[in-house]
Amino acid sequence: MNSIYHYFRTLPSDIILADISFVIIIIATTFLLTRYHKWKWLWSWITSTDHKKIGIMYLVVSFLFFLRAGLEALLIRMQLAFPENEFWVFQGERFNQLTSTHGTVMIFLVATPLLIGLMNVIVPLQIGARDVAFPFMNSLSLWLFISGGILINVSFIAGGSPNAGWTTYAPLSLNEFTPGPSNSYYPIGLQVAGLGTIMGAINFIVTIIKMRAPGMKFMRMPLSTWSMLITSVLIVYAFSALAVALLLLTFERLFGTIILSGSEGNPLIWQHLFWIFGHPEVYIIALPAFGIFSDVISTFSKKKLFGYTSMVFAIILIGFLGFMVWVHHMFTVGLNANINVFFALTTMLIAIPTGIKIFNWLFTMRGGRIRFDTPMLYALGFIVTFVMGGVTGVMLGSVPADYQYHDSYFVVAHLHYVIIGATIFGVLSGVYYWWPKMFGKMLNEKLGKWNFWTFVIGFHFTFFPMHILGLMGMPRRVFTYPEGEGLGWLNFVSTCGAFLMGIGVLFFMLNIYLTTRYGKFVQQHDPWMKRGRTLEWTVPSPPPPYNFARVPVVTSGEPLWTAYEAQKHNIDFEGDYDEIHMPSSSSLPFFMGMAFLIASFGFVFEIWSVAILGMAGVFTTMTIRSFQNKNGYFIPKNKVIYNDKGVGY
Amino acid sequence: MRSLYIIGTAFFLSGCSSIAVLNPKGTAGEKQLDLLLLSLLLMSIVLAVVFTLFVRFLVKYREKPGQEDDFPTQKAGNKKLEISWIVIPFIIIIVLAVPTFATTYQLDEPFNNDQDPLTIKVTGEQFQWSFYYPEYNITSRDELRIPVDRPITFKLSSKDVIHSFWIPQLGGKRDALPGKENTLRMTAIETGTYSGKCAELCGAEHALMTFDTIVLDKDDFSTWIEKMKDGENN
Repeated sequence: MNSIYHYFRTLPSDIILADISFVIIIIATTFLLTRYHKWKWLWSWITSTDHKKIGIMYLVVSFLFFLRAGLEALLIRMQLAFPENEFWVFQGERFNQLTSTHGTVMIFLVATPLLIGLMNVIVPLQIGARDVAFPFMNSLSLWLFISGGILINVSFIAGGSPNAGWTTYAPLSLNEFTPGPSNSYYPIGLQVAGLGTIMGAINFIVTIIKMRAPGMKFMRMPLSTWSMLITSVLIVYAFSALAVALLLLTFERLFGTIILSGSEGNPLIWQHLFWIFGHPEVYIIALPAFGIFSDVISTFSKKKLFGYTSMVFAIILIGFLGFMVWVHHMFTVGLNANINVFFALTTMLIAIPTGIKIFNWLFTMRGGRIRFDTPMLYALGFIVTFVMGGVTGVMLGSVPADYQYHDSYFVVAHLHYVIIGATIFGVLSGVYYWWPKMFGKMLNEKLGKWNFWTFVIGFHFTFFPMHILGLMGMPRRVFTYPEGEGLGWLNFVSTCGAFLMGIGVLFFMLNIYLTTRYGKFVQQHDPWMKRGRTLEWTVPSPPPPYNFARVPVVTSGEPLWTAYEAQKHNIDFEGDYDEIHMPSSSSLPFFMGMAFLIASFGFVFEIWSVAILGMAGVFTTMTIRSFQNKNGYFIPKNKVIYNDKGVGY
Repeated sequence: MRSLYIIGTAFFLSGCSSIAVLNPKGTAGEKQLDLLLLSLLLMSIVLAVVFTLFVRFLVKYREKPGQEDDFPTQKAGNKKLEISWIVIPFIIIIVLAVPTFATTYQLDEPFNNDQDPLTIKVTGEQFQWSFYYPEYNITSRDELRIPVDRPITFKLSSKDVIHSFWIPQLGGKRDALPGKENTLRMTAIETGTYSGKCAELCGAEHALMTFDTIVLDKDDFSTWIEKMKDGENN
């Protein structure tokens, strides 16, 4: 008892605060769930294999991670607001933990799963499918992501967070320099989450190739679906490289292999493997956003997407080139000039397909009837922001100049311009756009506009000054900077901008709360003023569990728009109703995820009995699944007919 | 091309003398600034075109009252336009790539012996820099003194984790790796004191791993060398 008391006495104040709020949140959630008899409801979501529910859970969980990592960003900005500042406990080691988990969480547990979640909801609807190809595996992907995410997120109250940057370069990340569990959380947590991501990608590939509605040829697929197909291919290759890198790091930390160490091994192996994953990852989180913007810009301009074919080939080309540029993250490690020059060229070449996309979006708007609803505002904000981030990308590709930019705040500015500009704006645009499809209620437009303007203005105030800070010689990942170098006021501006972004996020949350609480259900399949073009707008909002009562026959790239042009209210669903086969829900993915979580804790703390127990759980659930005979169930024909005639149209 | 730089440089330096990278005092830094300005110029053209079209289309094609039920003409594309925004960016990239390649090779080229280069072995360790001058057999810590106008060859390595050696006003950075020696070359062209830093996250005190770079004229440098030699002998 005394030792426990002593332990709590020695904890830093921020961790005590986190512990207390964690306990309060657990108690409050438990209380509310019990009070409103929602445990059963929660369990039905946890065990669901419906792609829409899984997508929504992806969105909710990654939004929680987003709030956490966003809070970290505010703490980082507080520490950097003034020269030689000492804010709370966040100097030195603790600051490194902040930046490392901010980056890791934002990339792996926010950007990637937010898009996967949104696409999980939308892709089957867009191709006229009733679910994904492997509903059970879809649920398993979700639970592996959540257990990996939990592992990374609890690290700071259980032994210390990763502190070697989100890139976790060896040898700093090895036991010799960062002993203890901290940097073991990183490879093990991401390994579990990454497994889920690879499964998800395979699921998307099979779904898109095999489950398209009759007549939905490849070149009729909406851009969101196209981009998700290419992204999934990128994930399969890139995350495999990451898995190898993480495995090497895990082995090095747990068993003392000497592959990555500075003395006997070669730390550059980690950098190569990491960036062979890391650069495609940029496109993994950018391409789906490009897809969303293509759909949104086309819808809100009332125009067919300009240059559809070249858009598709641009995505494929970006995906291909994305694997050929990784060394531009390593220009300063001392590779020879021939190598640097080659990768400079490939880097600059990516600007061409990206430029094609930008101009196609602009010309989609030409001759249209543009409405400025929130999804469109985010798409327009994206064009401005992403073009700025894109041109600094080309500048970074110029090797000798990169010797100056590299690892400075210039790079910090660039990466936030592209990642927030594309991914976060893309997700917000997509969430506003498809919210009525997911939940049957429109998000409030007025709050949406407040959300957009505060977030975007805050964004530019936060990150534009960082370009200049980098050129003034401020390296990234520093917890302080000296008084005399004139870095003070730009950093202060940046901090103010970050808080404005925070206010933007609060508007977003307020909007969700008010809409859910007070919003009216939309009684239409297409709530966007009859501007919808693709299949997801032909089904009720929210769609029934089976999406399409009768599978549509697709005759053009934009079936709904074609119907509107023919003065019809919706596309014609032909053929007879039939009973519909549905996948059964299953609790196994949840338990498998939890078993992975237990095993991971065992590995992180090197308590082998716990690790073995967890792995035994994993294999037990796998065995149960192998012998299980759950072949789904059928929704009877008359119920389908009743639902379809009764709701919507 | 050079005149464009000068206009650009004049524009940028007018209020930005505190921006180290835009105000170089070393040969490498100058070449890197040239590329920065060239790429910035080219990219400004791109930005101007995109933003002009963006504003124009938004103003012209916004939905006006009474147009709610319109069905605008649906255009699938335009071959000429689409080819133009493949070809023009390609030309821009070539314009940027050629000097990029040239400068990359130039910076990589060893100095001639008749230029009398000074070799300095730089070692990074958590969390300090040490500078060993083999020619004079002296070592200086967290303070780098170099003669003006004499080419310097830095031989970089690390005792522990990866560090990155960066003096923004003299030129770009290069990593100091354990178990590997990297080379960085530059010549300072003006005396003065410039701040140097570690640019690769190396642990808790990464932010404090700084050093002063003091560029001296020939005589002052010799005096310092003598003083250091005396210090070593005592």
